[in-house]
Amino acid sequence: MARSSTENMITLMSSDGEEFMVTEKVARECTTIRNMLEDDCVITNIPLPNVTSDILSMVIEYCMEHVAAAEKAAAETAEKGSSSAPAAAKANKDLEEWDKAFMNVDVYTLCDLILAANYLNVSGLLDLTIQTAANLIKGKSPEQIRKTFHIQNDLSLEEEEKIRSQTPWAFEKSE
Amino acid sequence: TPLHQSLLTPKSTAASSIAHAMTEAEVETEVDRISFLPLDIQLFILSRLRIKDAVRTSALARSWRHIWTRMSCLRLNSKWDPLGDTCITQNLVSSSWIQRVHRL
Repeated sequence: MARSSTENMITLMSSDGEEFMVTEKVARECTTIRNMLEDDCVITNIPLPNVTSDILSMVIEYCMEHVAAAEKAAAETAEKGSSSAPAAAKANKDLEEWDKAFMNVDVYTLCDLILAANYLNVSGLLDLTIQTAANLIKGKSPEQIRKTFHIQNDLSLEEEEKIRSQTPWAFEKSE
Repeated sequence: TPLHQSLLTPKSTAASSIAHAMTEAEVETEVDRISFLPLDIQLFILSRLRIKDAVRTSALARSWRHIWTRMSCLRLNSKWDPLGDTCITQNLVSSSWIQRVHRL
């Protein structure tokens, strides 16, 4: 990716000791990091003890894609004076498609991404991952949800019956 | 296409420690993670669901029994009849809540 030579680079260090060099602009997508940078502007090396390298690389990938999309939109607006509505709509759609493809992960990784997005405070990614998790629950039976998320059913038959009988409307087939 | 799908394989040693032991034979990606997420994140996920879907999670496992009752915002859909709403509130207050409070 092209970038100006004057742009500050920040090194993010994952819990397993891997270092990722990113532009300050990309790092600032994480509100947690943005706050650190604003508190101490000379900081260049940030340890992130709660995020593993595989998850951190995904978070960075997400931030880079979204920064690039925003930069592209801004450049087009500057060039033409105003952004054309169809072009902006297409760019939005492309980014949505990219997000959707990005969410093609197993539920284990999804949960890790939720935790990382929450810790680093990347609001767009948190929103995306939370919605993805919700979509995996939506309209499903308890049995299907357990299977998706590998949840062990430790309820006895009697307990499960009792729960179902307390809120029978929640267990009726969806309309 | 996102880069990670070609470059990275989903493995993982989650830094966020999970409060249950894993046997070596257990496939890591088949571990239940969602039940061990912090409560505020679980509630955040439930807040994206219709109430019917959220309440249904009470039958997943013991740890899920009362999570939905701690939601601060209930999303009622427009198709819901008023009697149904009353019923939810009564159930929420009369059964789950009181049982939960009693346990504390």
